[in-house]
Amino acid sequence: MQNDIDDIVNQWKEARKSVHSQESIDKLISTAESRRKSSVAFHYGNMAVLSALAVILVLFFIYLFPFQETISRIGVACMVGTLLVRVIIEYFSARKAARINLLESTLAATDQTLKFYEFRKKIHGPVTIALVALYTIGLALLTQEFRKHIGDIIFLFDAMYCLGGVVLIWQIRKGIKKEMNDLQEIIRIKTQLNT
Amino acid sequence: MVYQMCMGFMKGDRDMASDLSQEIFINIWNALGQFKNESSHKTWIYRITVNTCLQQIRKEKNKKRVSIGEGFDLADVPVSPAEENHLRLYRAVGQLEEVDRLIIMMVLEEVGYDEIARVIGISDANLRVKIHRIKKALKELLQYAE
Repeated sequence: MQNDIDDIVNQWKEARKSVHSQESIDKLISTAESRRKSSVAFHYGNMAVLSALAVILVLFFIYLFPFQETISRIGVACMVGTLLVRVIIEYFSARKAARINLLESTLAATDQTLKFYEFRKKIHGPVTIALVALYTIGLALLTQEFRKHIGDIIFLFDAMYCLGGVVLIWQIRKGIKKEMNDLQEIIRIKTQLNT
Repeated sequence: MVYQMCMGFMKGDRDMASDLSQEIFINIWNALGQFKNESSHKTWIYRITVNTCLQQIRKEKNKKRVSIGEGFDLADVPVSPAEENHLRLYRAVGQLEEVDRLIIMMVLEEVGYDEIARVIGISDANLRVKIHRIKKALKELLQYAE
């Protein structure tokens, strides 16, 4: 057995001689830097889109369509508030992900990753459903006053919202499925570590 | 050392190994400020390498890329007999479970058992049991590959 392993170690050493990164160190640094930037952009992109949407809604409701009725204002607050809560959740989520410490032992890093995905599971579940429900209630509250001004075109808006809702639910489902697969993977790795 | 571990982890796929080594490089770079002389540079780099490899599994599974080990025949790739042997070794290592793959590669890198135990975060005794089992599995995989 020991001889076999020594052979394998020798093969490994031999293989090392032919293994070399084909890229120069400068190219490696620039590629690594651009990958790091795109990873940061990916993490904060979601937040930027949601924040921009909240700003557009606020500007729309202040300058283009200032609602007079209290119930409509509550609706606006629900919609904008929902988006802001989602931005805050995304921010904390990105921070939590960044806190997974790769300098810890594999077992500790896996535990941290597991906790992160359990947090994501909660976010995707009851929290997201509550936020989508609140956003929809907000829209429903301002529909009455909106209808007085723009007439039946409001149904077109509602139809568009429903369509958007279907796309949103499909996207959320996709995200949940991916992250739940990730969670399963981490549990599998943890089992490997413990057996 | 890092690139070869990536080759073994990615079953000999050079492109994927290159992607992974870049990811490790970024993580090492980002963590440079946190290096304290509590462990050797090597142990520190192994720790980041192992953890990054395991984080990478999920990304790769999501991409559903096809690796040499899973998808195409080695005969299709123009390589020298020596390289073919190396690829056979990487493929055999690649067939082990992910954690086992990383442990055996550190053994092949001749990292001490106490160091490996610290990197992985398990006891020495547990590690020895694991290594014994992995060596046996790797030997069988290599015999099967011949």
